[in-house]
Amino acid sequence: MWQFTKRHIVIYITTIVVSLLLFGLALYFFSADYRRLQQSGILGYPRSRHFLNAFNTRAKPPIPVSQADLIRTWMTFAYVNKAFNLPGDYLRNMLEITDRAYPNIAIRALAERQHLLPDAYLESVKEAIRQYPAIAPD
Amino acid sequence: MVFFSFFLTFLLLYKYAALFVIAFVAALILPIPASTTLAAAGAFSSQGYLDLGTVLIVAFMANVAGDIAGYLLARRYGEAVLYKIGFRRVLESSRYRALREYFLSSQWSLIYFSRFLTQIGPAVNLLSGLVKVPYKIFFLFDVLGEASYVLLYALAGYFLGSQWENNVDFFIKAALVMLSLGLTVTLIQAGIYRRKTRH
Repeated sequence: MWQFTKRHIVIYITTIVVSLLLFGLALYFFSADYRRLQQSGILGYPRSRHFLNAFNTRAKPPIPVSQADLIRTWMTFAYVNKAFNLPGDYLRNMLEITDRAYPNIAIRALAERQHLLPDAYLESVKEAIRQYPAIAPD
Repeated sequence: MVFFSFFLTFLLLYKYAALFVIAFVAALILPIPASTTLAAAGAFSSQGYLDLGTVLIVAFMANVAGDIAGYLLARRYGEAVLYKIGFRRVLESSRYRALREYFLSSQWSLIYFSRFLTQIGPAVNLLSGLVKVPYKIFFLFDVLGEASYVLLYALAGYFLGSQWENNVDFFIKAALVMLSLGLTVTLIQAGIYRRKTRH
């Protein structure tokens, strides 16, 4: 069993003080980040009495096509269609996709199958999404 | 990023099955990015691709299952395996006994707060089994810890929505808060235990 000397006690108290300081600092930066996200509107926490409405996923609007830059090569076409509320065949027709895995295939994987550079193919996907409002029926 | 991208694509393709596998394996033994994957699942739920309730339940069950599996394996076979591979001297040393005593003195805080850090969670599970933390104590604080962890990360991802990937440092800061709080509580708990055993 450990025998605590005065030295051990000093180390112990110092460690607690350091960990408390670390906690204080971490909490400060975390709350500063939280305030920044809430003030910028990114953190979609509703300022209303009806907190439970926040969990109604059907009420969430789709991502606007102006934010097509959020798309990444790891995303699947199924996810992109859902997130941007696109018809299932829209990207298939616009990009002339014949792969049977569509839409359950990642953008990067499809690009590699077609021997295309993933980043270049990603840009064509983003461009196709930006054009959707002009093509979509009302 | 390529490494992490693999898990995100896996999650998008296989949804809840992928979430279960990633969370279970991370809780059991492998240091894979389960926390960020959970936050991503929360974000995908905000867009309607996944259901938030199902994400919470699946992630919670997978984490608890992985923790308990690691704990039970270590409890049942841990010492025997360590003896066999030549750790007899370590297990019979005074340092190991002191470590064991320290662990048992602050078990609940160690178990609870280590749920927020997927890198050390598996080690705490194995150590809990090795030093034979009582079943009920391990299960209770594991369940409480995993419930808190799953709610924190999944809901943070949910409310960040499509902007979650640009704000990954928000999750890192949350983990630092829990790490430092856990360290403080564990130290205080060990000190109180030490005072009690001296008297």
